[in-house]
Amino acid sequence: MSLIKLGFMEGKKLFSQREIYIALFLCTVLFVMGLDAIGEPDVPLLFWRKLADVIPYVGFWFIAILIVVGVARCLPFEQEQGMSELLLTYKKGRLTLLVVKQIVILMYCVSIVLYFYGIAVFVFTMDYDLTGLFAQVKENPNLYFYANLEWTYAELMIYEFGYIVLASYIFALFIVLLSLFIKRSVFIMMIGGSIFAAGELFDKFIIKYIGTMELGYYLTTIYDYMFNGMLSFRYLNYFGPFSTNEVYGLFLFIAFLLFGMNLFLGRWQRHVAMGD
Amino acid sequence: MKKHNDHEREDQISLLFNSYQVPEINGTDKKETIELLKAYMPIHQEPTIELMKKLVWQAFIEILSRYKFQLLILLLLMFMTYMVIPENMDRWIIFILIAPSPLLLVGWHVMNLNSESMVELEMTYKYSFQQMIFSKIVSISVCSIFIYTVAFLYMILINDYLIATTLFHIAVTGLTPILLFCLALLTLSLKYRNLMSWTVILLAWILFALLSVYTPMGTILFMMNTSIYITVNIILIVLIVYRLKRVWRMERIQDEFN
Repeated sequence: MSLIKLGFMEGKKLFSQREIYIALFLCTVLFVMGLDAIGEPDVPLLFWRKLADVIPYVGFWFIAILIVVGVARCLPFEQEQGMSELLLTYKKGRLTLLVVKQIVILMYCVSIVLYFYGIAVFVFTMDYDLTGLFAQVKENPNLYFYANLEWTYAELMIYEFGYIVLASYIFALFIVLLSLFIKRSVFIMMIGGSIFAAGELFDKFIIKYIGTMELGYYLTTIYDYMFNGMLSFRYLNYFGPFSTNEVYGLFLFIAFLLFGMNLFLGRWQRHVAMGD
Repeated sequence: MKKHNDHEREDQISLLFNSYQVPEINGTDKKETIELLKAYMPIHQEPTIELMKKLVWQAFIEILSRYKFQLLILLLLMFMTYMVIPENMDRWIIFILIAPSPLLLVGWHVMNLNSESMVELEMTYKYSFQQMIFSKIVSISVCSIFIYTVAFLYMILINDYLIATTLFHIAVTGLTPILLFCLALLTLSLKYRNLMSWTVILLAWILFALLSVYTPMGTILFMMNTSIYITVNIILIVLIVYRLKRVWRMERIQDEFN
């Protein structure tokens, strides 16, 4: 079976999960409710500014949850379907399969991010004027992360899209890493979801009450540089240590590292299972 | 003459009866015949209401015995949350958002026990799977409403300045998520028996809670007219009752037991 065909089959397996569609429906409803809750007077370039702000504001929650739901079952799928022994007979080996699975997950991340941008564009088109894609960001700067003010909105949107795809892919690779150690997909989903939800609960609610404590400072630092911070664009804080290009480099490095680590651990686990 | 003949005939008949040897019937044959005929006997059925009460009570006892510690910890956490959060809109929003938490916790149990691999075993149960789902969902919903009522009474005590209309609004609003989750649990446990689906619902509820606290959505929803919530609650109750009735009627035919 060629790699493209294998990738196609893996994609089919991923998208055949009914939980993804339950989550997609619920997340879409909540996302649209979240978009409607942010009411603002109409000013020039509001469409593009709001589109740039929507993912760092609340949009990344829905991306993260859909990643957890989709990726949690990606590796344990064969075992849960009773096909794990059959996999041992696969000619190209587990390593190829892991590579293909991780590439399919990247495609999944891209499609999820595109989906939420699509929903946001659809909702905002009904309320705001679409013009101004090539206007400079400094005319109505985005609020939730630092970007070069000389950029046009087109450049900003391309940068933001790349950033969130990379950040969500890193989070997805972390879920893959979890699933190399945890065999039941429901537990992977629970643990992945809890890690993310606990971070958000802390940042959006608990911090209001413990913000003045020293513990609050440490926990905020952890939040900023963990997966929640990546997904919520905290790496691009106005006073953050990284420039826009450095963040891309760092994220690519982390993604490659996790990709390689998953392959290594997957191969090692195979040898352990075979008793080599 | 005729009388004499009659007497003679009677004597002959009694002689015949006295001399007739009744063939001995085999004990196993007797038992087999009884067993065979039993299948044609009308089966004694408990009245539906009695059976419902019995099953709901059993489910209630099972849930309490299995989840006593978890429910107790949950209750303590709930009361702690009410005490810690300062007196503002957040307190009421969180009060409403955590109202269905017992249902979320035990919903896990309902979805976990009834996986698709259990189907064959379920066929051997005395009561049908649908009857058990019915009893579990009814008992946990009643339990959730009871816990919510206790929490609500506690909130009345610590917020004695609130006027009756506000309290009524909070009481009605808090019932909406409980009823919503009851309906979701009922639908998912029958149509899609998978623990993953309940985990998805749980994560979506956490997202909704975050949205309500972090964005103005919580305040917008909380400030909505009470009549809207009353209407939604009535619709949800009608849907739940309709579905519960259907679930109860989906019981297995009696022949399956024999």
